[in-house]
Amino acid sequence: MEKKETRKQSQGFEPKIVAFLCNWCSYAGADLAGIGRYQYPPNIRVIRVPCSGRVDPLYILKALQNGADGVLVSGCHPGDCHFIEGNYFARRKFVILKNLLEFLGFEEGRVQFSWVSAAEGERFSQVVKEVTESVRKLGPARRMVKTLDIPEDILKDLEQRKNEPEFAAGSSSQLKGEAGV
Amino acid sequence: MKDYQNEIRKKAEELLKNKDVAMVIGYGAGSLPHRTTPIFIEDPQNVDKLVLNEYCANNLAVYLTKLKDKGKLAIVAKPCDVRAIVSLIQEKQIERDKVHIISFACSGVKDKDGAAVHPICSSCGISIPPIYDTLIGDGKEIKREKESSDPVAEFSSKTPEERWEIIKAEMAKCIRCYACRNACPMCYCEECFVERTLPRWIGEGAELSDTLIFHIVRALHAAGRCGECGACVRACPMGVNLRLLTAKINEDVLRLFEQRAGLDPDKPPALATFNIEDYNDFIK
Repeated sequence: MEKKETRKQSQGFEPKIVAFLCNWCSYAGADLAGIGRYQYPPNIRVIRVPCSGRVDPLYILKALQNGADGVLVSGCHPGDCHFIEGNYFARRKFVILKNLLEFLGFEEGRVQFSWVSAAEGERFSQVVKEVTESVRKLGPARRMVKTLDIPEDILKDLEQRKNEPEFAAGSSSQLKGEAGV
Repeated sequence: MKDYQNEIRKKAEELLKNKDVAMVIGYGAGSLPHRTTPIFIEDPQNVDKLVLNEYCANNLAVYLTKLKDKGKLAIVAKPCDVRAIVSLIQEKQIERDKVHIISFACSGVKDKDGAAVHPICSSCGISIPPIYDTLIGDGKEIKREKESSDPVAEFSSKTPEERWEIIKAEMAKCIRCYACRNACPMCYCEECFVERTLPRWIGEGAELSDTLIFHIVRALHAAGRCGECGACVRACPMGVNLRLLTAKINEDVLRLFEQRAGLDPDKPPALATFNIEDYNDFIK
């Protein structure tokens, strides 16, 4: 426990990044990075998808809503799609999504895209490093996080009663943290 | 537009009498001034109920997918409504020969208060229908006054924080009645993602992030298919500025893919096709 604390303090904010990886390229690229001992930050949570074209913009938004600080979608290079053209359709979808999110006031770089082939283990680790660093710079995602809409007076009450024995579990601070958007 | 009313009645009577169509979908007089209501005419004796004036704001194309089992339908459609019909034909929701489009050159419809041309209409660049079966009037292009300020450019010039605050305030107005979705002719899914329970994508209640996800995804689903009729904006009882989202997407589709929805029935919608040379710089 103590060790964990010091690690947390020394490095500061650790972003959680959801990575949608295409089964036919980037997922194997991540595997190759492991085989080749190329290190990359442990901040990504990989979700394997059959094609980058399978990634519905809704998945990206839901990831952000449920607490992801960043989302990475990685697929095959143009021309290399296992399904011939899935990534071309994905590219059209993603440029519209990315532009719209930034238009609405989301930070640039919350949602990122990359092409990584199954042979690019080193490149995969490089991409994850870059994405993690850029999301770390942005700080925790606040825009889309699900909020518990707790009225101010109840929050104040919770704050005051924080030290009472039945609140020792720390539920009040948790509630407050989630409400702060 | 009022001069077209008699011609539309005549055409509707002719179509119904000859049994060319099973039903005429058109506008009828509303119960309030400055309003019209959709009417569905099957008996040629009732064609006098059809009206056409500058308050015919509804996009009647929304009924085509719902009533297609009736047989061939005739529809009174403004050019923007025709764009929606073209998109429906492209997506094989209706057959071209199962719809008789009665259209005309449109000078724009007026706002609810009846005073001014609706902002969506005043910036509309398409005043003649891309396809039609019956053209009422001479079909000459009507020049509109271009809107002095472009809502997308104006909004983009603000800082991300300012934009987010505005969007948050807009989303807080939404009561999620889904009127925008129901009014949209392109939202014809039998089951919308917001009503799915396995998985439940959107929670019930006034949660801001859920509302935002609904609006973003609704706008994205219409990307490359939206005919810019403004039915969603007009349907909203809370006055949410839905136009920001759709206008931004329409602008991007035009800029990046050089396509506007619903103008060419032989061309696939922008997001149902691709170009190998598409914009790629945003991908690592």
